[in-house]
Amino acid sequence: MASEKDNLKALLRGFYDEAEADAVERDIRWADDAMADWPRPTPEPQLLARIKARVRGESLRRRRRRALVRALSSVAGVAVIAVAAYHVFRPAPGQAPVAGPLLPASTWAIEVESDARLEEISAELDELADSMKELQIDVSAPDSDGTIGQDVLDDEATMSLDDFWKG
Amino acid sequence: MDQEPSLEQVIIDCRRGSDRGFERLVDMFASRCYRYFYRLTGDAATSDDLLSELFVRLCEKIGSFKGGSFEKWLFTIASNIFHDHLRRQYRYRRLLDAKVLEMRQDHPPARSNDEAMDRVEKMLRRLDDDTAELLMLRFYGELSFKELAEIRSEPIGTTLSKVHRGIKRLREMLGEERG
Repeated sequence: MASEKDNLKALLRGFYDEAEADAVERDIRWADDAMADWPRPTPEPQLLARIKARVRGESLRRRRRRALVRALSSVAGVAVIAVAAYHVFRPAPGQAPVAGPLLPASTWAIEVESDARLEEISAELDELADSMKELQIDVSAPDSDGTIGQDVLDDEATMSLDDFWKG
Repeated sequence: MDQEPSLEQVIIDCRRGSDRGFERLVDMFASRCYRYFYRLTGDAATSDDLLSELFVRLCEKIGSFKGGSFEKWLFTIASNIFHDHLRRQYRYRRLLDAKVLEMRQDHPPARSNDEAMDRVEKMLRRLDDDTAELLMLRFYGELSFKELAEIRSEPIGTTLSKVHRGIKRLREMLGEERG
């Protein structure tokens, strides 16, 4: 009963004087009893069954709609990611896509430069080898004891190596 | 033994979309809501429709229930549905000519044969719509004065005084009948 929810006495004292509050409280209690005594119309069981069926249908419809919304959201999410990825990775306007090397051009430049240097070193080494051959020939030439030839060879070799390290 | 779940549990079930939860909610509140509609419309068929509409709307809105008094929330929806019905009826009445109205008065909608029930209805008809609705919310909705005031967005003193005036009027009418 509604009056049980209210602290009627305290509530009414806030608006009426004591005598008036008592009278109002009596009227409200009378109405509570009268309403309880009056016949209470009740819904037919068939009506309740119909309402339950309608609510079940509505609930099912809502569940389906939610599932559809979820599926559409997923699809929309994937589409957004795809579009974003396309915009991030596509070439700038007017720039044709280049099927170039995967490594940056600078790497190739370094290698080309290294090759040129290598050739230069190889040439110097060949030159050194030729000098050595000539000296060997001199050494193998008939000499008194072969020591002079050996010294010359050592000096030549030292000079060549010095030239080599000087570049 | 299968224990009856609490109202809180039923509401949680409903929010999860459980059919059983909604069925329990219908079992718990259909009678009180039906009385509220029946007393205000005086028509069984209209009350059936309004009750059905109430539970469908409840099913749609259960997710927006933020806690607090469920009865207050439920009867706020019931009251809105009743007011929508009144507005529809008002428009309908405006469309009808005097002849059709006359015919409706000659053939009123089927009602309960219960004499006592007719008496209550007659008394409620003699109250203004606002007071009648307030009394029905109070007694069938079992709402406290604070909840009633909140639903109607008016000071609690105003609600209290309107309810008291309505009750006094009912007492007078009963006195007149007896006297």
